[in-house]
Amino acid sequence: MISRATLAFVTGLQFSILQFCFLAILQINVSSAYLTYMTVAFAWMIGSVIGMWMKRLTPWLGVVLGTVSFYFVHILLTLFPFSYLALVISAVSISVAAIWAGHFFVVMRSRFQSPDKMFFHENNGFLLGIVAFFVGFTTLGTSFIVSSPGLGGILLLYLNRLEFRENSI
Amino acid sequence: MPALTRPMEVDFPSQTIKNGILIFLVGFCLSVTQFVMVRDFVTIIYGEEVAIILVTAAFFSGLSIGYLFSLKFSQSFFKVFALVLGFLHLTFPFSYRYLAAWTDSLGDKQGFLLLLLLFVYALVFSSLFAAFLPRLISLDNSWSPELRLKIFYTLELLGFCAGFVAVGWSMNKPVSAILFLYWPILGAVLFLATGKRNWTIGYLAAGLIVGFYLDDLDKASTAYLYQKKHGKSQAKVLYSVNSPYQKVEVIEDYKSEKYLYLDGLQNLNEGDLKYLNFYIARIPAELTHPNNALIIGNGTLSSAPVVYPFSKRLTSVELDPGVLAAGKQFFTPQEKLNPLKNWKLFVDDGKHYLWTQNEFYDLIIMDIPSPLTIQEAVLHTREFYSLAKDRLTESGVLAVQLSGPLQKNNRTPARVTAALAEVFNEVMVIKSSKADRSFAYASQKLPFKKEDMKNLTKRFEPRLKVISPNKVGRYLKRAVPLSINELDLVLRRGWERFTDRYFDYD
Repeated sequence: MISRATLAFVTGLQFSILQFCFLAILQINVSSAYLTYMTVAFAWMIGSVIGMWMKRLTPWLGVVLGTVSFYFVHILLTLFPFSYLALVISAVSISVAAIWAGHFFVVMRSRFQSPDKMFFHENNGFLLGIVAFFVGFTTLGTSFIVSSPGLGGILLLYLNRLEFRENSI
Repeated sequence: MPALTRPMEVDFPSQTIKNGILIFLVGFCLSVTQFVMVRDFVTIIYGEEVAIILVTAAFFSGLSIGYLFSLKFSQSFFKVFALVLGFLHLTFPFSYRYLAAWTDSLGDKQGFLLLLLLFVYALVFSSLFAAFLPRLISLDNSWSPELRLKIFYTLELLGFCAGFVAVGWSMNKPVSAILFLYWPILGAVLFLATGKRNWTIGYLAAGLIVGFYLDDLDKASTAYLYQKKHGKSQAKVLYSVNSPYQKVEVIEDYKSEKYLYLDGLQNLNEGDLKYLNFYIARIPAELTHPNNALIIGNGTLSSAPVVYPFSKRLTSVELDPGVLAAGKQFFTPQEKLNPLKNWKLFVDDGKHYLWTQNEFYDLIIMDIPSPLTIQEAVLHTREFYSLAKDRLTESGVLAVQLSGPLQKNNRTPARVTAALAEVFNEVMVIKSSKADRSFAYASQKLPFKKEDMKNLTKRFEPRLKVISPNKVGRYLKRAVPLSINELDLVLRRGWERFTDRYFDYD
């Protein structure tokens, strides 16, 4: 049995790793300038807001959109490094990836008795993600960047499947 | 209706509008406090990547505590809690600097106390703001719960974006600039959250008084920190700004010597600069007489007048405008730069610059900090050196400072040299006692020999050790070349420095 807390925690972990992986590939392949950091942060927040107001979005689609967007940006930057046009396209993709970051809370709100716990568990996952990214990237390098969003996405899809199956029973 | 009260007391919709403004301002405050806390505490702890991660994690743990207790407090307790924390925010940034300096005098316990201080302040910085969103979603009764979540969370994110813009505006200014903007907004948050007019007026009055002395308090507390933690007696703060990348500080000691600190880590001092510039700039320039030379880093710009007499064209590329401003003001006066007619300065990331322009160079000088953060380490990797090689002429030279003496081990100088040796056919290394570090000169075909190096340096440092390219390999048997996939040095070295500094009792 999977608890809502675990789902929120792993979702926060995935959001964190996705954000930092986006930032890392952009900093390595485009520029370490402040503009890159601002682009990632703003694009993520815009995507979150859009996601929050979307009428319908299944967890499956939300998670897949996020993961696919990341690999799209990864390929884009491999093919067209150091291009500001690639940065602009990446910003749009980051917003797409962040849609689930907004919609997740709307979906989960009704499943948590109170919002404090939802934010608490998601934030704890995000916190772990910060540390995990740093340790993972410095020790495993690009293999961490290439693998972790995908693995996180698969785990999240699995947990969502269990959670929503339980709720529908 | 007072803010954040139960449904029965709601005066719809004015209270909801107030709550909307409140959560927008909370988002703004969160953005600002995250910036101030990360910058200031990273500087206090010293800015390796490990410290950045630790401080960021502390900030997020403060948020978690805020979420955890957000609905456990009664409304009256929450009001008191908000006011107490609000007043504590008026002690930023000097209270935690004085406390951090004090922990340094506690010997064995200093590491634990500093960590305790960090996490206690993380609560002060972030927990209050985290508590608002769950409270508003739960306790405001307008609309459906889902709509409340959407509206309030959207407003908080928009406020966060607004705070982000404000932080951007405060770049290259002292921390007081953003605090002057932040405190009145926090005052508005306190008023909207508590409804206590007198307390808010008291808060704003206290803010005005502290604000009047803030620049002095900022400098005095920074100076105290440098005296106690860095052992700089009679330290005087000449310059302290938050650049987009780091806290940039220029400190003067009792001998009137100036030091440049980046996120609390000493980057250079005036005395060392002479030796550093001699080996990283003058020697390769004099040995190669480049038609076209490039300096990457060197925010103080002190290398430019050194290289210029030997070079027909010279370009400097530095990412951080805050360091450039400090450099022009304290290390390389404009009079020294004015005569450099064929010198250009670009504010850009070195790797982005190398990739996007089409010029070729006879000399590229890498004058950048040690690889203690990921971003700095990337500029010491074989991937970056490959990029530099593509921009060098056939016998073009890349000059790199190795952050320490080269030895037969797997530490920073050996790993950087190993990365160079993987990319270039020839790497010559010198070990300077005067500069207290080694320097590497890499090329596909070095245009100078060991004897040339000896001849040129014999007056300056007769005992300089020169390791010729065919002998450098002996030093690299245990060294893993730094690469994007091998950045463990950032973690390992950062952790080592952190624990040595705070938890080494020998």
